[in-house]
Amino acid sequence: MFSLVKSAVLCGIECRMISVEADASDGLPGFAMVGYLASEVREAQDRVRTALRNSGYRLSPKRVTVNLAPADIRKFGTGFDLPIAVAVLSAHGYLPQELLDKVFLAGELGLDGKIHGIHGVLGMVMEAQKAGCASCIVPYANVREAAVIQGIEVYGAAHLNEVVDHIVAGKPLSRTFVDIEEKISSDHVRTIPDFSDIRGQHMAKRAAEIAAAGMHNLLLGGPPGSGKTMIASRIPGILPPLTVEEALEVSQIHSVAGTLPEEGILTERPFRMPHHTVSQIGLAGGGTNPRPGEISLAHRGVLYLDELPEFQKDALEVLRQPLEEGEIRISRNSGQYVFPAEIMLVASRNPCRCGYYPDRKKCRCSELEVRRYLHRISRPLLDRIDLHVEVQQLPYEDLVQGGQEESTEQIRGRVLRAQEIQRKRYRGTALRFNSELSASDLKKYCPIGEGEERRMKQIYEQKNLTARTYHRLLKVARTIADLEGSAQIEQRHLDEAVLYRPAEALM
Amino acid sequence: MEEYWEWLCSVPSLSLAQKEMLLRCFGTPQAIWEASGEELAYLEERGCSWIARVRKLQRELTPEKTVHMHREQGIQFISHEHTRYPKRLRNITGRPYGLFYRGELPEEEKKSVAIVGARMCTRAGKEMAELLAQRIARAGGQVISGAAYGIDGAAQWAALERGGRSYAVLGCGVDLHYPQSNRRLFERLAESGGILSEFPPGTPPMRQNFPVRNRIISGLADVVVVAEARLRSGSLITADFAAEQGRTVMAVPGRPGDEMSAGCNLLISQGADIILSVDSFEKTVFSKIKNTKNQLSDDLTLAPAEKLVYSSLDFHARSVWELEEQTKLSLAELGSSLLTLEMKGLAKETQHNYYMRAL
Repeated sequence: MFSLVKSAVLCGIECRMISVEADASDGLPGFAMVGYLASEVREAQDRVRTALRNSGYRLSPKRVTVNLAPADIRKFGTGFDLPIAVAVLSAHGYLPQELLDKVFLAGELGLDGKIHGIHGVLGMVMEAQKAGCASCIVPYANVREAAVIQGIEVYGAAHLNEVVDHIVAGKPLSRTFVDIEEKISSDHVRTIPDFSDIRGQHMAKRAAEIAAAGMHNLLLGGPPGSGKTMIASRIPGILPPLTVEEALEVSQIHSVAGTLPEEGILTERPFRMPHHTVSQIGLAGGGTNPRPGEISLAHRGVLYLDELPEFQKDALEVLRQPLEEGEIRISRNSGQYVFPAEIMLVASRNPCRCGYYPDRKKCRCSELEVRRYLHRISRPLLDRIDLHVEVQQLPYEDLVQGGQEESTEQIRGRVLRAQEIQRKRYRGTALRFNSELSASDLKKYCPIGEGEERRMKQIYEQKNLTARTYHRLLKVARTIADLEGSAQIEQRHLDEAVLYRPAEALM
Repeated sequence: MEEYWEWLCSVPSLSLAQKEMLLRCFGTPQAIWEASGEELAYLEERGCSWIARVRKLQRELTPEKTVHMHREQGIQFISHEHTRYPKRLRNITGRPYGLFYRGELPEEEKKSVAIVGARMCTRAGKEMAELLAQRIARAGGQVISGAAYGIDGAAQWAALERGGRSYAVLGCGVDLHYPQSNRRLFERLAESGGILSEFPPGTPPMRQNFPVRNRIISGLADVVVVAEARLRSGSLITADFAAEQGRTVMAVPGRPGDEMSAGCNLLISQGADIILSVDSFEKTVFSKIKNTKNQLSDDLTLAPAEKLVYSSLDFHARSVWELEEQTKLSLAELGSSLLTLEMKGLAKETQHNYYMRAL
């Protein structure tokens, strides 16, 4: 008897629907699986056979053939155990095929018939909903992420028997339902720490605000322990809140990587802080069945690279393309995978290896070592970082002094307004933020008056700018003007932007 | 005679004592050049293995060729018998028999001040050295130093940037740029000053050369300023030479217990002149001081914010955030004021986002 069950496979972060077909016929008893399978899928047959037996099913000795179609897509992952088991049961006559027609199944089986969680469920259910499935049964561990998809009934099952009972025995599983709109708007328990925790550091905070407003990349310099990481980790909080579409998009990536929070959906912008030993693949994503890397996990959020000069050179170089294009393309023989990577890059650096230069009482690095340390960051990468700011060591008085510091909420209000201005200005173009302006766009969107022109000339000569630093200065000045709500870039905006230009020592 | 001196001074790694001994034996450098193989071999067998180097050069290069080769590289030479040999060096013990140089020799009638100090220095030390050098340049003096990292290079740069002249005495050949990363400084020095060395061109920077050359730094100067030195510092050697040669030694004091300046404090306790301020330094060294104070009050074009910022600036660099804290101005106002002050030549950005008063 022939049966068919719907499941899906992960291709990068996208999912493709897969039909799991099973046929039990007379002949020499055996179990064969076909359909361009990776080894973990091939192993499914042993898990499935044992799980079925331990769940109380006695299968008659027949020749069983399982096919995963379409046969030209490489099948990865352990999520096929459950659909195969159900298809085999159906082929043996335990389940009628009609009841399986509009059901989507995915899950890994244990030998005792328990269903274990898998990666990428969110995307799979999203795909199933699009393919017209009416309900889906996923591992109980993944039910919360699956439930954020609207327009499909979502059930979580912990054991194979529950699935069979749900389908035929009239003992349905309880349906899990999440109202995503409400979840996103009502989720007020913020996990991102607040800016008011940081004492002093006005300049660094201001730079963070400008960076967030124009989605500029930011480099924080300063001695260890001065609060670089503290500032960086608070930046996602001053970015606009995620919209529903964005939240789904980001959650889908995290579902594939298995880094979703307990509640099944990301309601806040991600903040990723990979260790400096991270490899090229760890950062960009990859593997035979490519998984998203840190850059993609930080999609629509902040990627924070602490101690930038300590990162491996080739790992940093992979940042260049995604920073420019907002996505990463990875080619494997199983196909080309595109991972979204629209990030705000925040990096930090110490002034030297020991971290205390130019304090010569603590720092014993030679001038050459200091220079060599800073020069480890490549020029092309630095060229993509618009804002550079130094975080200073706070004196004790500032540290303990009371006094109210600005909260994340207040800063975000200004950022939102500035982004709104940009949205209006760039309506109808491919641009969204000031940081995306190219040299040719500058003339159109960053016109400056005669007086400002003269000022720019003076600055250019006084500070030894290059054409590139000049352009970046203009972009930053544009954002500063937007934060103020000023349509025109004034001299004071230019003057402030000068403070955030890169240090010569880096160039 | 000059070419023979140049030839003798070109023998690699020949110490002053060894040259002296040769001259005692033969009388003149010409005689050494003309000495027969047997004479030199005799000395070599008597335990003077270094004679081998003299014999080697004798076989390889004639004095004429030596001179020609050096001129082609743009390297000049002057022997102690020449009338243009720096007068200041004439009377010091251990004066070099000759000097190789690029650019010019220090001028005799100009006041010359050596600024020396640690390679690994604090920012304050570096800024002090720069301020002093600027004053020297403005007062028409010349700055002598060793073109090293830190104090030395900073002082020489500052003097050159103020349009002054500066001279570097090296511990290696004048054709070598050591340290490499001061390459641009060397180029500038060759244009508006000079690079001097008693070591023949091609001599690598060997450790033992540096203390030896310090006697020339102090010798060429009327005043030796130690801007910042630890207890074990080459600058103290320079100061010792200076005292021996009868030069005025001045030191920039540090706080008691400050190890970065412990050497300076030691010098002061031993009788070196203390530098209380840049003005007092200029007054003592150049006796007459141009009146530059209150330059600001004449300049009525400064906006109130700029005046406020100017009054918060100091003779050591302060960070923008410190200034922000003090002036309570917004970053935009502060940035504007600093830029304007800088353009008017009243402020100077010493490093990224650190500003000090310009002189």
